[in-house]
Amino acid sequence: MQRAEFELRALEHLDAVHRLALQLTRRPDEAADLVQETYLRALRSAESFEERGGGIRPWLFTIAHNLFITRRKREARAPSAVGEFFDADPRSAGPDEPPPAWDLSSLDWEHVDERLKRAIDDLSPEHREALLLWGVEGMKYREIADVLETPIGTVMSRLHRARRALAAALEPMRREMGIVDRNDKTEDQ
Amino acid sequence: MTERRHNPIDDAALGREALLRAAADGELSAARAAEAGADADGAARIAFERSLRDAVGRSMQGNGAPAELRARIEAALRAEPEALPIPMPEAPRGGSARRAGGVIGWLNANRSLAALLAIAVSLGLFMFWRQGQPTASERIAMDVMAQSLIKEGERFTAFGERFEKQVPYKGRAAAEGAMETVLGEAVPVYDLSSLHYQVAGLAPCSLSWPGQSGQLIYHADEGTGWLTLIMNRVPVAEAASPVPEKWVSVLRSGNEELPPVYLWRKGDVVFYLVAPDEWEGRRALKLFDAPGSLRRFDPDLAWAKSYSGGR
Repeated sequence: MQRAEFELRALEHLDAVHRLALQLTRRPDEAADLVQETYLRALRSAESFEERGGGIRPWLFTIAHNLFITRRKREARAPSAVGEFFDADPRSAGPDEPPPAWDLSSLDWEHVDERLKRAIDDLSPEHREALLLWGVEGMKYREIADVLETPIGTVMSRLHRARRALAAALEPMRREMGIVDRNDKTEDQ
Repeated sequence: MTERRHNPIDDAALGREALLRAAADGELSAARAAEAGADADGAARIAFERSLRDAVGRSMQGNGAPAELRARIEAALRAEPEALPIPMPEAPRGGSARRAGGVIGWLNANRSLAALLAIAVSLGLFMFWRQGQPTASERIAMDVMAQSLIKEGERFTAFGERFEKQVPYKGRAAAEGAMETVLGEAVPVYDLSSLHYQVAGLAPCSLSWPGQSGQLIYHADEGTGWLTLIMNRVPVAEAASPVPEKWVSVLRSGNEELPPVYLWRKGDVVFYLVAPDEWEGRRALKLFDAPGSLRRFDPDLAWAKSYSGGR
């Protein structure tokens, strides 16, 4: 890819890359630096980039993701500190337990958003990352797996755990609102 | 990056809940998704998951990249070196491996600097013997030049080790204090935390260095980690070999695992630069207004006095 074309196309995704960096780092200054480094590294390899149908965006995500992992390793000076990125059992898709089955007609999703934001903030970076690529960027499991360079089962597992954590965080709200969980036998009685 | 795939996932091994989530996420075929959501409970779960996804999307959407960041990146992209005679090295796999080591990494690399220089000298010697019979004076000239470079490498290494021992980097003031302790003189230290890619404003020739020779150490410790460039300059009369003014000589080991040493001349001053890797070195050279052309250092050429830009 020519330099001018790269700049044009890559900068179109600046917001998305920044969003990912922010979710990973949780610090605006660190996120900005991660984004900048991502673009410079991408530029270096722009000529070797091959269009394969996914466009340039997943490629930028992958660079940002890898840079973040490298940083965390460096900061921790112990590779195990980010072991979760690599150690998750790729065959595991997470427990197959049901999420809360609330009476959806009663749930005020606008009101949920603030509580949801706080719950998302409490997630680990890798869970936030998967959640972002899934919920905001609208990527398929396979696409997320490609970006994170991890098995699809790991992606499904992370998404499941993240969603379960969010659902749990919303549990007090459900009770406050008196919404019935059809899985909760005690409440049915 | 593998090819993008849109095929539905293999749902045969999925349990009921995972199947419903996959259906909500559009990961199943239309028929399979319809089947999963056929009963009221399944349909409610799918609706819930989709609502949750929408809410997650709203919560994580953010406000976009700040305008200042966009401007900075555009400026950084513009400042990137254009194609140089030597192809730009590939980015390290999985991030900035060499810079990731920071000062420690730099030190580790520089412990091998003498070895790097020895390799270069050995190569020069090999070329020398292969090409012909040197006179005694020519042999001495090459040896002096090689010894000079080795000495420079050793000095850098020793300096880096002492510096690291005395002061883990704790900001500019601490670094400057340590520099004075180690070197016995005040030497400017520049914290590039907010100027990672804008070193141009610190062009060394515009600074007043103590003495006729001097070193500059540039540190950046913002996000991507340490960036250490060690630079030295000497009067041209003290250079042991002819140094061309038209290009920068790059001294590298064959496997490029060791840090590069750059050598060039501007007027009566000879510059040495040790960078963590070739990428950082290239960027620094551009910002330091070094000659735009790079050539692999070849002691044999220097010995044969074939530098077109020599004195």
